[in-house]
Amino acid sequence: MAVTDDTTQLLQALRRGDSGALDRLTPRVYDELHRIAHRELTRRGGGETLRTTALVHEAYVKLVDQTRVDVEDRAHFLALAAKAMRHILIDYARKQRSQKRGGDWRKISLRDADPTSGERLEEVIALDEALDRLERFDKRLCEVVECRFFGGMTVEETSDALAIAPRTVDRAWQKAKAWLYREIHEA
Amino acid sequence: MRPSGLDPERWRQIDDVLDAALETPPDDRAAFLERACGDDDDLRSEVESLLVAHRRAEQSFERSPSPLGAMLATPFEVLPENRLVGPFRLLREIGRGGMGVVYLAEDTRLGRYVALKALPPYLGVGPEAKQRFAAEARAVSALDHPNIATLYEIDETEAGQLYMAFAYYEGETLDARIARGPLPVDEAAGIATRIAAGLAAAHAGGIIHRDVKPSNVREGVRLGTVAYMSPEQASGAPVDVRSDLWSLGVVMYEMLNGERPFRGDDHSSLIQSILQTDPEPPAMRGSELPEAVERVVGKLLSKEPDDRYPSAEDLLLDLRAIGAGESPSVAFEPPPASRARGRIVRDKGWIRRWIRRPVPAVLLGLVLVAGGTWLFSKPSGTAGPSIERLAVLPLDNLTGDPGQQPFVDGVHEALIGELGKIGTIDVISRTSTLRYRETQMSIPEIADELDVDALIEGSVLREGDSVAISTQLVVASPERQLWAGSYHRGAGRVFEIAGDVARAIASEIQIAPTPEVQRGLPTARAVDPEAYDAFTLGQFNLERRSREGLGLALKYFQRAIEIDSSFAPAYAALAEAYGSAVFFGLRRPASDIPRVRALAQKAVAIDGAEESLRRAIALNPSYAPAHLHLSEVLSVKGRYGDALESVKRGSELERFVPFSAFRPAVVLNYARDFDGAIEQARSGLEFFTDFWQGHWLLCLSLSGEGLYGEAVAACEEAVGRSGRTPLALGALGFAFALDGRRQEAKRVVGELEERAESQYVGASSVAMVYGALGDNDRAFEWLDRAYLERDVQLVHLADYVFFDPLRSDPRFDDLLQKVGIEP
Repeated sequence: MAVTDDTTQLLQALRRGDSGALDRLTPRVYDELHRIAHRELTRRGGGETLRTTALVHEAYVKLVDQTRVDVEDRAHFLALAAKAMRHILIDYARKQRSQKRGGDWRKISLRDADPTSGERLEEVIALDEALDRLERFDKRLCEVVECRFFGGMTVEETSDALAIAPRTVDRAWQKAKAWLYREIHEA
Repeated sequence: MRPSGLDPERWRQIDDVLDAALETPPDDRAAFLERACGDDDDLRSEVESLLVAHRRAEQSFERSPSPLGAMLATPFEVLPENRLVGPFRLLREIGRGGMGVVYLAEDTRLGRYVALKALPPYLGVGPEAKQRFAAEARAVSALDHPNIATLYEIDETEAGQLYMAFAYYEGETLDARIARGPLPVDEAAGIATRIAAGLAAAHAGGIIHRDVKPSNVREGVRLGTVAYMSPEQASGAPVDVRSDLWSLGVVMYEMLNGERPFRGDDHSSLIQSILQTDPEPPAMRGSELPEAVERVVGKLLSKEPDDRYPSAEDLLLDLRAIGAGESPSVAFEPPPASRARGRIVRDKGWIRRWIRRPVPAVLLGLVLVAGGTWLFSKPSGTAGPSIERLAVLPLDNLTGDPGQQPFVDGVHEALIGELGKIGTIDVISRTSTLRYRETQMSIPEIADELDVDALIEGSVLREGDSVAISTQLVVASPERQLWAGSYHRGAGRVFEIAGDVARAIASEIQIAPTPEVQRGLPTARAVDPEAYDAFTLGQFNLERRSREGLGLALKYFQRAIEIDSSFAPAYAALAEAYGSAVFFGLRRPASDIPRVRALAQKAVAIDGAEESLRRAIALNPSYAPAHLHLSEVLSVKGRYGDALESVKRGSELERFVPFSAFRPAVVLNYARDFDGAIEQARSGLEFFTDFWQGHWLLCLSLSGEGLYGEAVAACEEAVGRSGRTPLALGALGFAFALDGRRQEAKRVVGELEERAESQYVGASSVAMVYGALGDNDRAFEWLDRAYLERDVQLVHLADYVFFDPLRSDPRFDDLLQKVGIEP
């Protein structure tokens, strides 16, 4: 399949240091993930957490010929997907919020009308905003959160993707969680 | 606000101290901070507050069902006893592990005991998140609690506290059981089978347990934990599902032997032993140990993961074989060196490779695994929810490829077939569920419409020769998920998966499946994937019942048989396709009827329609077509009362399908209860106005009642809607003649005779018009021709009103005899 070929080739180009590959890869990954996430959100009625890991992996299987990529390519893909996933989720949360405020109730299914989901959306958005603040003084922690949380990646995968030691990933993850927790709950 | 104003420089300082503080044991942290921060009080309070946040974040993280929820959740709160959680009163703690607490609780509504897992107050858990949570929880709790895996309910208190109530069984822990001495082989194998099934479910869900052992109680037993570690785990190498299989091997060994295979005075000597020693065979200590069991344990305890079973499923096959008194297959394969490498990868493809990937411990954190009790006694008398009628909704095609739809439909069909074999539950026919393919209706609405207690939803993902099938059983009222499972296998093993699902569900609702289902027979055999594809394409086309569809169906079924000549469902389907083609007048039957019969016989391998149908029903009481065909057979035999019962049963199972909606009218016609038949036909037509056969039936029924004028009107509808099909024209001519409109009747018979020169026209249709016109000679000429051509309508010679005008003619009895119907 041509789509698979392209993404696979782009990943290989990225590994060889072709910086243009990233620009072409990003929209591809974003579009596919967006499509999958949209399907899932419409199907599920939305409102609650997506199983981000499953979606990222689904996108991976669809876009990448796994027989022709190595661990590093996979890690790059996942990191990219994690970033895309963050944007998709936050976009979705913001849209939901404005719909609820703006009163387009027809688009909200009964399941959405769960009284807690409003709060929930606020929490997702609060997390995103907290991450933005975190990024200003520690980009690395933010990247680790994107990989681990939005991309559902393991410590090993994150380590491959960000080219840092697994131990550092683990520690960064601990610290980021502590900081975000405090920022959201106690700030 | 403290954090937002941070500059990178200041953060680096905080970060350094925080890093070092996290390295420091908690008790020494205060002293460490004293030293590290000196008189920078801001720095110190910043780090302290982050350490507090870290602890809370970790706690909520470990215990929450989703990473997002975990991150945002408030800290876990341990529940005091006697507290009410929803309708449950907490009585005492019965299990506690690294990740959660399980209480014995009383259901104040029903007065029964349950095992209750209470979860942290969790922000905004939607019903879907709950279902997913339950699915994930079940995969792991099945593993830790083979016998408390029946989930009664999952709900939320008004305060937002999520809880799950499981069936509670009295029992002792496996640890305590082993302490009393080695277990009998049967018992040990049974427990190992349950654990392996739990592992298979967990692995299918992408979870590696990493902590398989008889008890998860941690106090003072750290050595115990190490004792179950695989060599790769103990040496810090990456682990995959096969690491869990090793641990299960240790547990099996311990059950059989009473002692663990690897021992040591401290961690390092224990790890040495795991890495280097080969344990004595477990048979050395106990009495006679069957060689098969010994081999299984030996294979599980292979140092090299490649030498173990590739998956829990493969192990399960062997354990089940042992349980059934057969010899296991996998354990007796030649050693891997001589075995074709890469077989697994080719066989299971990408799914397998995924499963092999270690998953983050985070995933385990998604699920509240209550540690502690490993219970294995019988249920204490509590029954599962009552499910008498069940429907399987069309499965989602996750391949993203519409070309795979027939395959997905085939899986759907197989699931319905296997579930039907459970015997004690009614499973709605597949055709009745197709209308819900893209529905916006809720589960309770669908359940209400189909009058079922529960629904099965699911999805199918296929990649080459591998297929992943996920299903969940949802009870309609109150809506809750009862069971969920995922299966990954070769595409040819769809029936086997369907059988596994049926067994899992049967055990979930605590009913005994038929022996056939228990044994996974007779359909649970591997089918050539290509044959299976052809078969599903055939089914897909057969369902359309159009001229083109039937043609294609015949082609695909034949191809399926060419590829796999022992694939019984393909023969049965081919027979049905021929039968349908004949019934619809799309094919000249003379050549096909014997083929239909031969094929049908080949499919069921027995003579006698009634016997074979009854056997089919015994095997699958929910197989609606069998009931409907049986009613037909019984009618032909003149047993109208029985026929009516069969037809009712069949149409209960098959809703919203025109064929079954009109069957009662057909049988009532045979029984000459025309009043009832008219009523049935009319009520069917309210739903299926376009179904020409319904109008034809109404015409038949009205003629029986002598209402020829109305019968003409009904037949005109049938003729118009069928595109002037000969069967409808024959009925119209008949009604015209008896209504006194002879000219019009003659015009109709003329049209039929003319068409008979260039195409197949059922000769009986022409005969019935001549009969009604009183031209018996011509009528019998055409009936003779009908006999020669094996016109299927002759089967109804004794029944149909359309032949009534000819009954007094002596030639009629002769014909009945020739056809094989006793006059």
